[in-house]
Amino acid sequence: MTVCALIGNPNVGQETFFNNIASVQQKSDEEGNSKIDKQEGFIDNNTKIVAFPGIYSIDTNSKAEAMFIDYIKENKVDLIINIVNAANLERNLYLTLQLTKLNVPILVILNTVHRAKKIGIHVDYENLSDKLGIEIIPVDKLNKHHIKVIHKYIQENSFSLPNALPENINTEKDAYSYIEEIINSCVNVKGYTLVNITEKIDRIVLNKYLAYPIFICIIYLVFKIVFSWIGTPLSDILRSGLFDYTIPLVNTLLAHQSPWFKSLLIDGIISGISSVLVFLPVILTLFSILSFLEDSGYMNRVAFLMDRIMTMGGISGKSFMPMIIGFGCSVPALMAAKNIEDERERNITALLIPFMSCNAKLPVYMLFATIFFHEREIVILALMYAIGVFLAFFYSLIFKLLVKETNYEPYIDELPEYTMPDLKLLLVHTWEKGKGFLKKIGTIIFSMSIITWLLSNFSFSGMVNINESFLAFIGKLISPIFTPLGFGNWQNSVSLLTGLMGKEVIAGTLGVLYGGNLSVTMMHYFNPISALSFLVFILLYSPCASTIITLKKEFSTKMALTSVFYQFATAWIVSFLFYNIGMRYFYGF
Amino acid sequence: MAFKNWGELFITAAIIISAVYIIYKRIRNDGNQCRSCGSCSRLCPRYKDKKNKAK
Repeated sequence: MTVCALIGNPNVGQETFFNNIASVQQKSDEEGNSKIDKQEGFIDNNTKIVAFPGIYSIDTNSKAEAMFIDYIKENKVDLIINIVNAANLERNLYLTLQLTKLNVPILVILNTVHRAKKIGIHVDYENLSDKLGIEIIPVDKLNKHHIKVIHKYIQENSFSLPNALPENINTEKDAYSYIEEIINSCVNVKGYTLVNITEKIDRIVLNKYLAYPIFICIIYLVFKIVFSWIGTPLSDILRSGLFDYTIPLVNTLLAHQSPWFKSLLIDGIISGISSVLVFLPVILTLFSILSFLEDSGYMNRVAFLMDRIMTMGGISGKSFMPMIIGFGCSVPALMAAKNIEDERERNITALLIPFMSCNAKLPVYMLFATIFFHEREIVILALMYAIGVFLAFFYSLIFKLLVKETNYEPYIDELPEYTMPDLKLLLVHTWEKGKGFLKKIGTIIFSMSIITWLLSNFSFSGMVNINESFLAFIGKLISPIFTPLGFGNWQNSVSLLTGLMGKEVIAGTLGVLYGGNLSVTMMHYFNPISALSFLVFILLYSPCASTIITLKKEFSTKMALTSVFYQFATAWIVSFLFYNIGMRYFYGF
Repeated sequence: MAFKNWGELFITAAIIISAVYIIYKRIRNDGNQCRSCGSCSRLCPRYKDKKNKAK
């Protein structure tokens, strides 16, 4: 059996290569708790291929590098297949040079050759092969022909050790000097246009003084487009369509049905779903802009900008990426946090992630912002995100004081070139994301609206007035906890309870319990200060069931319970301060 | 509470059963699949799995 180890820098197309070349694939997680996996597959009956996560070198102590080195040492590996990005030889060849020290034959797959040519980089791969003493197969988009050539090379099994490298390459400096020498003789650069443009843009966008003001301007512009120019106006049209036309129409159609059946469909399902569905245009607009920023390459720059700030708050680079994912959803963020090697750092990150304002909270923020803070929606939205980040900072500093100092692990990523996103792809990505939101409305919002309607219309004595229902009983039981925070009626208390199933459910529950057009009905139950206090509480209180389950499964029961209680306590204290200071300042009591 | 016809009862039962089933399925599958949170990004491990499966 021939064993091949597949390795390369991160994001060089190694995953695509593996998926195309290996027939049978299985994930191998021998690292216990860690989520850094290698993948195994077979090129044919006699050739096994093991793909490792991308690495930049083999001389640091990261888990991914250690996993690769250990595998090479402990197993008989016949060939290392090294994927190299033709457009970035300088960085990629550093790993190749290090691999030559492992005394295992190497095959270099020179990837994205066509793209490199497009930006003016012409690699003389035959000369490069001679200089390195390593066989090189150039490919672009891996096709059947390439696979045949690679397969044939492996089947011939005439691998030889790299034999052309000078012996005096001992330090990093030596390696880069030699790489420079190789590049000068093997790479012809004509009109290095695209990278030049990228460098020019980066000189401004990542400028020491301009980077953050530009970032703030872009965020402001995003909010303005979403909440003032496109998203909210479209939401208003949808709201009017649903509440002014659809509900009266359904009411007429169901005129001859039983009142309870009509109430189930209108007050339960339609009201619950509508209160979240009206924000679909806002969500779609936001997702399309975020897709645009991600596809253009700007989001990678944002990651670096945020890394700088988070490091100041005591959060290391490796913790930062999971926290960014937390702005989408805490569950994948927690999965990403599992990659952090230091246990303390990993646990601290897991406890901080739920403070990041996830997408599920967005419909609730929007609901309250449009009703109570009309024309100031952007300020409220920005405030919510800022409070979350600030508290993550605050707790990060506290945790660092409580636990012993952890190893700082830097955040390393490659900045891609700026590209103009493809409109078709942008629409596809936006639709994919919007589909997820619609799926949630059709599943969890739908289900929770029905359960809420059922429990708010029945008690042990049958169908009753909403204030005597099961839900009113439960709500009245817990509402005293929230009275000092300004939203102590049973409906709000119940919505916080159902919100544990998913924060967007809160909007659906309020839709069912208050009924009708929430812009009108909710005015009777909140003032702007209590509404803000309620939003702050939603931002910070115990994470949703999915997050709690993930914390228990992937970390420990203790971690899950800690998260539930310390977040609840934090939410209570911060909301209490907001409400009482706000009431004293604006209302004089 | 009077049922006007059995149709209403059947529809209501079907709606409630489906609601309970959806909630049960969600709790059971939590953490094991893409969360459809809308932040489909190369940074998300769940999205990566979803994309690989789609291939």
